[in-house]
Parts: sequence; structure tokens; C-alpha cells
Amino acid sequence: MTRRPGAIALARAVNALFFLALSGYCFLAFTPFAYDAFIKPGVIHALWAFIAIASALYWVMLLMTVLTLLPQLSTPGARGRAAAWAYVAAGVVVGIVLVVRPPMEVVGNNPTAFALGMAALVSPVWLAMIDHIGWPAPSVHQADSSRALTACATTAVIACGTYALAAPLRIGQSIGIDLPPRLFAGAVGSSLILYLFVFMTLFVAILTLTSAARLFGVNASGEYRLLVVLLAICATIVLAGLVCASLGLTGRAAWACAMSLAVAVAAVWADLVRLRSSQSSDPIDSVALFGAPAAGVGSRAAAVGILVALPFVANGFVSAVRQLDWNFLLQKLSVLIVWLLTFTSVYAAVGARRWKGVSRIWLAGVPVVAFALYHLLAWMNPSITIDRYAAVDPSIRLIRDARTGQSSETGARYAYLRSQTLVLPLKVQPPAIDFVRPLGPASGRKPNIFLIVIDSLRRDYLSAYNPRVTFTPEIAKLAGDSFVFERAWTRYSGTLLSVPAIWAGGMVPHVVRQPRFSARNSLLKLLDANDYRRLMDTDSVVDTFDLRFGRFVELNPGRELWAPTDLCTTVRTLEGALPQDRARPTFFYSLPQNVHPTVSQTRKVPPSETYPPGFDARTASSAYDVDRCVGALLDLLRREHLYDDTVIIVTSDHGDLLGEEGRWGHAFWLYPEVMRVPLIVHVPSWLKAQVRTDLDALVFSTDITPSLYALLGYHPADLGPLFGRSFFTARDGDSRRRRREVSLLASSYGAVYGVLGQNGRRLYVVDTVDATEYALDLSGEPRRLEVTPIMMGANRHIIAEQVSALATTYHYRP
Amino acid sequence: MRHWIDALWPAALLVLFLGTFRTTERESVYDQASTNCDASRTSDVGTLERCLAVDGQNIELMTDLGDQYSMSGNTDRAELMYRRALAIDPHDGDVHLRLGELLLARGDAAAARAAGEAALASQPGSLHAERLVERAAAARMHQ
Repeated sequence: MTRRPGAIALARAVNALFFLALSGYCFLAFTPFAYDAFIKPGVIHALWAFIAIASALYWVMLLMTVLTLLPQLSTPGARGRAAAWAYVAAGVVVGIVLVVRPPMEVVGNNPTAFALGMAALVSPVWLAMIDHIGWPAPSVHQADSSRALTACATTAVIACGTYALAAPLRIGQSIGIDLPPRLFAGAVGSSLILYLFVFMTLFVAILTLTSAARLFGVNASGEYRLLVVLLAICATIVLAGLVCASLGLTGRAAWACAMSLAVAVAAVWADLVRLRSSQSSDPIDSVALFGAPAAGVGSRAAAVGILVALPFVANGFVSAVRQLDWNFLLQKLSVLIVWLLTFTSVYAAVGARRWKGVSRIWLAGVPVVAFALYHLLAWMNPSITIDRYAAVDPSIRLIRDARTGQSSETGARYAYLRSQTLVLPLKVQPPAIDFVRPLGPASGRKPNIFLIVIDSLRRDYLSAYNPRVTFTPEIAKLAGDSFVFERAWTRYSGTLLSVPAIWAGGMVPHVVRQPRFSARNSLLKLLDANDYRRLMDTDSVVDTFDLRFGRFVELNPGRELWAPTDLCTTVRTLEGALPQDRARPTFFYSLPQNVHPTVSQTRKVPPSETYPPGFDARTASSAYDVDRCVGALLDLLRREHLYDDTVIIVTSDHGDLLGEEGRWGHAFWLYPEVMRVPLIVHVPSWLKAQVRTDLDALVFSTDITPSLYALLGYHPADLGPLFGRSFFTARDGDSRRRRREVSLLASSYGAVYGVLGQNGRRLYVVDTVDATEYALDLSGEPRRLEVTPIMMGANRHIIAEQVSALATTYHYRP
Repeated sequence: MRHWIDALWPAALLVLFLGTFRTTERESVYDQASTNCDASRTSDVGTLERCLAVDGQNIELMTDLGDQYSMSGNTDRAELMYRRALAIDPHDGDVHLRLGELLLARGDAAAARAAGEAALASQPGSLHAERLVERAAAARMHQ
């Protein structure tokens, strides 16, 4: 039977992709943060779709693999026959188990997910073993140092150009990136020096490895195997330091996941090497052999073809994922893959010609020149240019972030913040939190309360906050009749914590699932004490609040986990659910996702809609859509004569970045576009005369709950700086404290904390995920400030103090 | 020996490359004295002016300086500080109130009333602002 190694290699690659994806999904589910942030709420539909059809895909993979193994299976005495049969037998058994118990039912946030993630990696490693037994090893000769030097230097130039080519295009698509031609040229020059440094490091690493191999008498095959080990080590570091850290997986579990995946990746790579080089009879350079999966070993044409196609594929991928990428994770990973493919292709394209007379002087001299240039650049410190350029070139973002080191003091501080972040719920013993104790029913008239928290809505996409906006007329009408708070912020940059914080009326323990939340759910206590009917949309966050008791009406029962909440649908349901008996007050709550990036960025903007320049059309169209729904809700309230008997609050849980400095989404970022929120509060006229407020003072969405207490006539206690305070005050001058205190902000997804001071005009952020700190002046348009050692010291001190206070409040010990 | 040299110089170079790739930020300085620039903790005009020289956009410092100058009778300087603060945040009701009181004390009832109304716009329901507007209106009637 004829064996076609090229086709088999392709089948192995496809099979490996499936099992690596399955394993990645399981590890993602095993991570509490990733499970609650991405999988449980169904934010990424593709993840659900993949796991739903995983059993069927498994059988397709097994069938494909059996076909590739047929020569071994059917030939008595064939090398690797026993291992192949064992693989098929085990595969069939696993396949039957997967049909009986599909992964979708088994994989949750539990240790089983971790075990399945590990088990999924057995398949590609086993197949690699079978192929290594069954296919002949190629003849290898030692690597040519001069060829490696030429390849590394050429790769630096080509890889730099790959991304630089698309940079001008991306500048045009981004907001707030000012790179005039002179600065752009300087940025490309700087990036070339950074690239030269990176690839000269690779060259020196290869040289070290080959020299050490020769010193210890290791043959050329051993040299190649060392390169595969180097790949496994690098992959482990990348997966643990970049992927796991970004997804909130840390500690031993992170290293275990990273190492297992890296070993599987290296095994698959080695498998492809074996298959792609099997038909070569000539001896192959060990580094060229290592590059065989990409460029093969037979012809330079394939390598050149890859080099021609790569810029298009690399930049196309970046453009496709940048709006939904998580902290640039996919873009950075794609850069590393592009580098690997570029290097292996360049190495193949350079060919085996030996540069006679290339001495050690050259081999050492070129890296030393790159080293000197790099340090000259570091001394010149063109950080502003590089920062701006990094916004449009993901490869420079990767290099810049990788360069960021930490002093031992910084490391200790970051370690402390990480220990206080995404902690295990079992380690938290939160006490009950009460704004009023004992809490009896309010004595006065009780307004209805309608709380609409529009997921990811930016304040500058509402005309109440931005006069250039013309597409939210309904909310504008509401604002005209309401209190519009100019300096409203959220404490958290993600739904996972910002929504519990609104209900609790203060900062909450930094955990994925709030433990004992009922004892801290101040809003629910208020509603319950006053016999409110609760008409609510539920979602993956409020579902954990234990709301399903008493007068509770779910407006979206049986919702699909991945189906986003649409406010218009909710309003239509509400119309039928509004009780005719108006003796009891009504509470309405919804967290619509009309503007959430996973919905808005897939929205098709109707041709009849046009938006002013500077607005993201899809987001603006989504804001227009949700505005219509708010209008429908207000009309309903007017029709039912409830409008002037209802407190209506329109706010958002957080904002979003829409291409500012190349950033999209909210991820870990505490930038003002994410942390500033709209806050519009309509108070019935009979209640309005009794309240006073300061619309220019700093307020938080955590102030909403204590403010509702105040509106119902209670005097909510001041529980300290981590908790909300009513923005409706009894006396003049109460807002003065707001204007002067410093407030803690946090990311919902990682150890990123901020300090907001000067009445919301000064923001300092410590980002331990990207190991960076930044300060912004928000008096006008956000402006970066130089981070001085004193500024850094003072703000780090405040953050540590407030994070410790939070731990003390919730009895948390790491 | 030659083999050892051939093996060691790339290793040394690799250590040099990897060792110097990362850049470490300057050490942070936590200086208790620097928190004196927090306007709420000092009333010394000299300190406040020094702090303002460092942090020229800090409205709270300007407001406190305005208060200090106003109390010491240097109303021109106080007004300058309040107006500087309002140039940064024209909706700061507290500063409008202070400026209004200062202007009323000086006898500029029309400007005081405008300041009171501006304060009322950002602090709806403020008794202080309402009274300032009323007193300014009354003063204007008497003029």
C-alpha cells in the first residue's frame, strides 16, 4: 500500500489542531475566571458550538487517522503495528464513551475538565510516537552557523516588514494614534533594531545549542532533538506567561497546563518533521530539518511561497481578531507563529550554500552590533514613539511587553495584588453588609424602581454626554427630565464584578462567584423589606444572587445561555407582565447586551443609518437600537401612568474601547473609556423636590443602591471608602468629600488596580498582567502623565492600603 | 581548550542578550511628606503654592488656596484661584459658590447671582446656592 507522507502530515496537523483545541477548551473551563467570563455566559458562541459537536468531530478525526494508519494496520510485521492497533482500539473505546457522555455534559468548572484536558493531549503524542516508529529517520548533518546567522538577520528584516507594511493602514483605522511620517519612520527604524535584537538572540541560542552539542559529542540528530526541546521550553514559557496569565490561570495548575500543551505541540511538530522529511535521501541540516513542517526539505519554492503569503495572512488575521481579542492574546500568539514560520522558511530559502571564510569574528560581530544598537535605542528611550507604533503593530507590542521587567520591590507588590485577585470563594468569609439595620419598611410613598444597566454602553455614545451624538433621542428626552451625573464611574471594568457591586452598593470580594451574596445584597434587602414585585431579566451574573423567591417574575425564562438579552424583547414581555394591581411597588431590572461588543461588532448597519465621523458605526447603530428600546419602555410607562411614579435609572456596568490606541473591548483595562459610565436618574416630581445632589461630583455605580435607600426615606450608613454613598444628600456640602477622596478601581478579570482622585480628573493604574503602570490626566481629553517615582510610590501605597482594607472587610486571608 | 572556547562564547553572549533584554523601571518612592500636597491635609499657603506649581491642574489645591487668600483678605488672588479652577471645571458648584460669596462680599451682586445660578445648575436643590442667589438678588435691589 502506497504511503503519502504529505497527506498524512496534513491529517496529523488537523487531528492535532482538534485535540489541542479540545484540551484548550477543557483547561479554559477548569479556570474559574475563564469559565465564568467566557464559557458560562456564552460570550463566545464558537466555543459552545465547538464543544457541542466535539463528539462527532472526534469520530471524524479517528476515521481520518485510521485511514492514515491503514498501511501499518494491514501489514503484518510493519513497524509500529502494535502501537497503531492499540491506538485504534483505545480510540474506539473513547469514542463510544464520548457518545454516551458528550464533553458538553462533562466539562464544567471542575477537576474533570483538567483531567480531560490532559487526556486529550495523549492522542497527538501517541500518533507522533507511532510515526516515529513507523517512518524512517532522515539523515542529518550538523547546522551551518553562517546559514543560521544569515537566516536570523534576514528574518528580522522580513518579519519587521511583514507588520510594518500594514501599519499605515491600521493607523487610519485607529483612534488617537498620532504618527506623522517622521515619527513613523523613526518607529519603523526602532522596531527593526528591536527585531534584530530578538533574532540575534535566537541566533546566539542556536549557536549555543549546537556548540554545546558538539562539545559533548552529541551527533546531528541529537542537535535536532535539542531544537525540539527548545521549542517545548519556549512554548511552555509562552503558554504560562502569556496565555495562562491573561486568562487568570496561575500557579502550579498553570504550569502543568502549559507544560502539557507545550510537550504536545513539540511532539506534533516532531511528528510533522518526520513525515515531511521522510522522502529525502540527502542529509539535511539539523535546523533545516527542524523547519521541515513549514517549508519542507525538498525545494526553496515552497519556502518563498510561504514568505510571500505570510504578510497577507498575518495582517489579515490581526484585522479579523483585533476587535474581539482578549488583551491582544490572539494577536501576540499569531506573531510568535508568524516568526516561527518566517524563520523556518527563510532558513530553507537561504539554502545550504556555505559561506566560506565566515569566521567567528563575523558570527560574534553581527550579534554584538545588534546588541549595541539595541542598547543605544534603550538609552535614547523613544518610548512615546514605540508606544504609539505598538498600537498598530502587534509584534512590537509583544516585544515591548516582553521587555518590561520588574524590580524586586515591584515584583513583591505585584505578587501581593495577585494574591488578592480572583481568589477562591472558599477563602472568603464575607459578613453581612447593611446600610440600614434593622431594616423595616419605609414609611413614605414608595416609587417604582426601574434599573436598566446597558452592558458596555459608553457614555460618549449618548447625547446627554456628548453633543455630537444625534442617534439616542429617547435617552436624551429622558435625560432632559432627569439628573445627569457628569462624573459617574464604575469600580470594576467587567460585568462579573461591576453588577454584584451595584447590587451590594460597594466593592465586593475579588472572586468569580460571590459567596454568601444574599447577606450582602443590599438592593435585594431594600426591595424585600418594602414588598417590591421584581420583574427581571436574568443573566449568568444575577442568576447567582438567589433571587428566585417571593414576588419574582423572570422576564426571559428558559433563555439560551448564549443568547444575548435584547431590551426590546424584554420590554415587549414586560408589557404583558406589568401587574394591574398597583398597590405594591414594582422593581424592574435588565442587563441588555444590545451594545456589548460580541453583539455590536457583528451588527450589520442598515444603509439608511449614517453616523458622524469619529463614531464606530456598528456601536453607534447598536446604541441607536437600544435607545429605541428605552423609548419603548418609557412609552409603556407613560401609557400605564407609571412614568411619574417611577425612579428610572439608566447606566452601564462599564464602557468599552473602540480602537483607541489600537485597543478594543474592555479586558483588563482601566482606561476612562471603560471606567466612565453614563448615569441618568429620573426621579418622580413629587420626590424630586425633596432631594439635592451635586451633578459634577464624582459618583460611582456602587452609589446607586444607597441612593435608592435615601430616596425611600432611609438614612443609609456610611460604610467607608470602599462602599457607596447616596448621591442624594441631606445637607449642602456633602459632596465635598467626594471631590477630594481617592477611590479604588479594579479590573474584574485580573490583578489590575487603579486610583481615581481629584474628582475623577486623575487616574493612576497598576497593571500587573502587562506589568505596566500609567497615569492619566482627565481634566480634558485624556492625557498621559509621566509616572514619577513619587507618584508611583504614593499610588501603590493607596492601592495596597485599600486592597488590604477590602480583604479585612471580607475576612479574606490568601 | 578550543572546543571549550567555541562552546562558551556563544553561551556568554546568550546570557548577555537575555540578561539585558528587559528594562526595569525606576524604584518607586513612597514619601509621606509628598502627601502634604493632598489639599485636604494642609492649610499652609506656601505649601499649597508649591504643590500647585508641581500639579498645575489640581482644582482642589486652587480651591483651598482661594479659601486661604480669601480668609487673609487677599480677594484678588482668591478670585484668580477660583477662576483658574473654573477654567478647568466650569461645572464645579463648590467653586462657583465660593466665588459667588467673594463677589457678593465685594459688592458685585450681578456676578454673584450668576455664580449662584451656575452653582445651582450643578447642585440642584442646594440651599446654599439658592440663598446666594436670593441674597445677590436682594443686594442688587438695594444698589
